[in-house]
Amino acid sequence: MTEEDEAAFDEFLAARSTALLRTAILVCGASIHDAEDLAQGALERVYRHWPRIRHDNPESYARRVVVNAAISRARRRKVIQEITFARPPELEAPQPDLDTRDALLAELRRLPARMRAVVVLRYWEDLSEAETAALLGCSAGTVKSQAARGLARMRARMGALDGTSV
Amino acid sequence: MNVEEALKEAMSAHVADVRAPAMMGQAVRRRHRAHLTRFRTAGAAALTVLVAGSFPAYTALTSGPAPAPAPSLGGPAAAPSDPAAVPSDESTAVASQSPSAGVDAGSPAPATSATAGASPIFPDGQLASQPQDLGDLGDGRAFGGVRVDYLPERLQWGKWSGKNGFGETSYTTSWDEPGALPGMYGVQMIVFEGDASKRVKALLHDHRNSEDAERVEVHGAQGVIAKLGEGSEIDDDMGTSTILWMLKPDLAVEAMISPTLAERLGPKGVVRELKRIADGVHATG
Repeated sequence: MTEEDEAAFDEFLAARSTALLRTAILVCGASIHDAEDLAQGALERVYRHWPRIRHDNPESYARRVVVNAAISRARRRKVIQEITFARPPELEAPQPDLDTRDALLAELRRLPARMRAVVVLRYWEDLSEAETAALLGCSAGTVKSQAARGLARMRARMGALDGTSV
Repeated sequence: MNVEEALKEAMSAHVADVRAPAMMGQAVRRRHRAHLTRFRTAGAAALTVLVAGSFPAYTALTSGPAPAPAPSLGGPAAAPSDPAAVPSDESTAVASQSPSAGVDAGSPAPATSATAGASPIFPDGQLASQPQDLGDLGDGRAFGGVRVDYLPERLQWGKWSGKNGFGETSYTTSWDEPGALPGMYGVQMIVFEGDASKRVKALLHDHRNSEDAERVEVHGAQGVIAKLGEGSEIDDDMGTSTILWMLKPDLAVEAMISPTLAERLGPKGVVRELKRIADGVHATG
């Protein structure tokens, strides 16, 4: 890699690594340590292919690696297992002192990894259905239905907290 | 405030204080160097194994038909005290076989002894950080009391294994395509033994009564094929294609095909491959 490549990679890190880490935390749904590991792994792959991809939307590539790695890990039940054991039972009544924000985040962590990724990409990253579908390798219809189901669960949780429907 | 806005606000607040570490660049480059080092180390280890393996094979080809006692294998070539160069029982036996058998059987033996009891060295840094609860499984086809005779083409052991991750006495590993992205897999299998199998038995019973699952028989035992979510619930939309069956009364097996591979195989291909995989699983205990 040339010095110019190295300098450009440093610029990319300075501009995008925080955003990538935040996405990893939300998509991963586990500890910040896991999210950092995911983000670092994604950035290492970006670095490995940097001369080739630096002019071709490296952020999108890194985001795709993070999201797919998070889903993959979840499928291997490693992270999910930690979440399963860390979270309260599925049917536990909402705690009255839990505020809406915490409740929504708890519900977000409960979502299946792929649905969680859809929700994060759509409502945190503000990606369109088509962009989200391209990133996840599924159809726009699937993104739409997953997002709707995810939001429905959020609504139900908010409704349970407020005693009203949202 | 609608739920989308509330959710966005909650997510924003949750990560507002998160900043990438100042040393992220160094960490990434260190990780990259580790990746390269592991790759080269694995290459060097493979070369060492190849060279060590070639010695008994060479001996087999050149020492003639008479059984060769250790000293007769000596001479300048055997002078180094490298343990791999000292003929073991296996390599002695190889030396007494026909030359062609010596070439075939001699090479793997040092590889086995070189890796026995040691942590496997993997070319991919990501894989090296994965659990190795069951140690080096060789070709990865025998673990947790089962032998896997059939896998879809090109899949090779993912060089990781987990134990008790799905209840006590459960075992898992996966087989991946060569060059797969870190964390990606082709087929993952979980073996549930003893108490762990009881939970699966109940699950199997429930799923066999579901309209969204296909009842199957594996060697005469009840099984089911369905798309399962992360909590093993049936999720026909986003679940992972899975076959679940009781191999023995106290031994259940779950095999799943990754969405990536499933997409390539198509729905019929997935069902066909899951059945073939299941048909090829045998208890070793």
